[in-house]
Amino acid sequence: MMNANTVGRKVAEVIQEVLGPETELAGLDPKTPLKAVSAIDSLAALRIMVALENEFKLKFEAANLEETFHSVETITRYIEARTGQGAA
Amino acid sequence: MTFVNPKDFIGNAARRSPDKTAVVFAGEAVSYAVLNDWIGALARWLKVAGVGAGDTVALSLPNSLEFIVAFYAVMRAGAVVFPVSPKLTRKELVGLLTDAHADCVIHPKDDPRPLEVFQSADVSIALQLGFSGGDLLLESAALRVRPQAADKPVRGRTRYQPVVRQYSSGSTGTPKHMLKTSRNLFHDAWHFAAAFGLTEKDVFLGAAPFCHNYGLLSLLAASYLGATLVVVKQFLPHAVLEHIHKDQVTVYLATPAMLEILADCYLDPVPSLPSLRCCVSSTAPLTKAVFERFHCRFGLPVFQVYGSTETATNTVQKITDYTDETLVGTPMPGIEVQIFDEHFRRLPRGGVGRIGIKSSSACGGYLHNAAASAQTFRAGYVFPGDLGQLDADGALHVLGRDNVINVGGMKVDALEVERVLNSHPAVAESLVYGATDGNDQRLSAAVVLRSGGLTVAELLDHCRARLSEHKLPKITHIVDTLPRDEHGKIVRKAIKAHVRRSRGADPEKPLKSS
Repeated sequence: MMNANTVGRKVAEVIQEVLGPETELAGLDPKTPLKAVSAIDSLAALRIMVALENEFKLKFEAANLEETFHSVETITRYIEARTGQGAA
Repeated sequence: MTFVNPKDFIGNAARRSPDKTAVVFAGEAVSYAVLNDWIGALARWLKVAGVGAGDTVALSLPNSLEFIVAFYAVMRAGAVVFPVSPKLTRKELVGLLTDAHADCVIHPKDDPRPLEVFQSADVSIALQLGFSGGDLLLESAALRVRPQAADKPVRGRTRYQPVVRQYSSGSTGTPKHMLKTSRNLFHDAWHFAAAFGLTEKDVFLGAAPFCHNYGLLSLLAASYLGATLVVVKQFLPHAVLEHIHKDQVTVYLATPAMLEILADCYLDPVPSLPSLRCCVSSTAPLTKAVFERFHCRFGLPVFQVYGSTETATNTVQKITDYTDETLVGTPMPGIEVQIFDEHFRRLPRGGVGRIGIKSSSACGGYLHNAAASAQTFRAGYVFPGDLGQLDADGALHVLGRDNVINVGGMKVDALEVERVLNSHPAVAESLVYGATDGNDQRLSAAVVLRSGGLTVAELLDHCRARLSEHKLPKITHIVDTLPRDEHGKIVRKAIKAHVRRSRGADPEKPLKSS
């Protein structure tokens, strides 16, 4: 089972993979709003959602999607809650 | 075909089938009779407020019941509807409203934007629109005193009256404004319905933004037929699939980006969508890969329509064996497509040149932009800026956008070079452009590879065998992606900045070959 750090790292990796290497996310603080990343437009956000769903085998609920996708940290928290992962 | 004024679409359907469901939105079904009443109420309010013929009313609303009521109420009041994307930045919105001399703007009741945004565009009335408990809620703010404009006479034949203002997506430059007449809108709806044999029994999914021509078509066609329209405020794959399944959607006007997401999203199990008989793609080229993934997953073909904001939809491709990515099908009933050379002379069948379209759904020109109009509207044809070819069956192949680069006095067709680059099995896609070098342009290419291993020298060897020397890219960048807009369309004008960013991200990458 993944712990919180592992889930967070995987989330960041998936986002990086979707955006491609031309968008440098290595130093991105998990709390940074994803809206601040210029490469993440509405289509990129959808692609990230799809990639995360496939990675963690879950569906993001439509309600509160904006809050869920606020930052790497909020996404990680959602995935942990849904999958039971995160316990160290 | 009998002309029906689009402002009467809902009223006619309400008389024929008052209890039939017109719109499904946010879990609520609204009948044609109720929708017609709401539209009438808002149209009366607008008239009392002095909004009428000669006025422009901007709709800054997402896909919603509010949009539909406002769209038809403005037309019924005799004013011009100007749908604008609710995602615009403040600067973009103010620019568009100012250019359009918008007199009134209708926006959502929970709109977080301050009224100063509309004030700075010199709008007279800002009207917040919403629904609560089945009631239509209006809250207006008079932003400036306006002259009383009620009862301005409507002159001329009503089918030639402008009813909708639109702006082009700007893929070839800055947005250009145009007016569509009642006749244009009617023919847009009619062409589409006739091409697919649609009837009042169909159920449309309105997921593409109504503020764009293609999204608006789902609203127009459904209303014209008296069919049902299921409205999706925001495209989310699971919600869309649930609507198709639950509401028995039969017609879905999608974009390639939407189809790709539906083909790839996590589904366990994959729902069956037996009702969906007409899944259509437009706004950007549909790749074979996306077609196949979608078809493989849902067992459904995707049909293509080709068009532009200026001309609306023009051709339809209903072939289920998708082998040629350039093929966009044959002209819809009543539409003529021809190919012209650079001097706007018609080419014989098989010739490659500019696509020219003659259609009753096409507008007559751009507003206050004579130079652009002269380029795009000639001798009864509209030239959307794409290169194409008509095959032996009369089907249209779109070979890309009209893009000529002047290299040392020699004109190079960027699309021709791209076709050669793309024909290498290791190349996924490419974009050819001119990089300024003093007064000259250096032919440059950004290339996305399917997999690593191919060197720039090998790629140029491949080109050298197929292109004249002056058509060989002088600078070749291997990049990971090409710049695209939110609809998945390649943004040519963004390529230089995109390449600069790519180089900055990985300076060790083999980027350049002179």
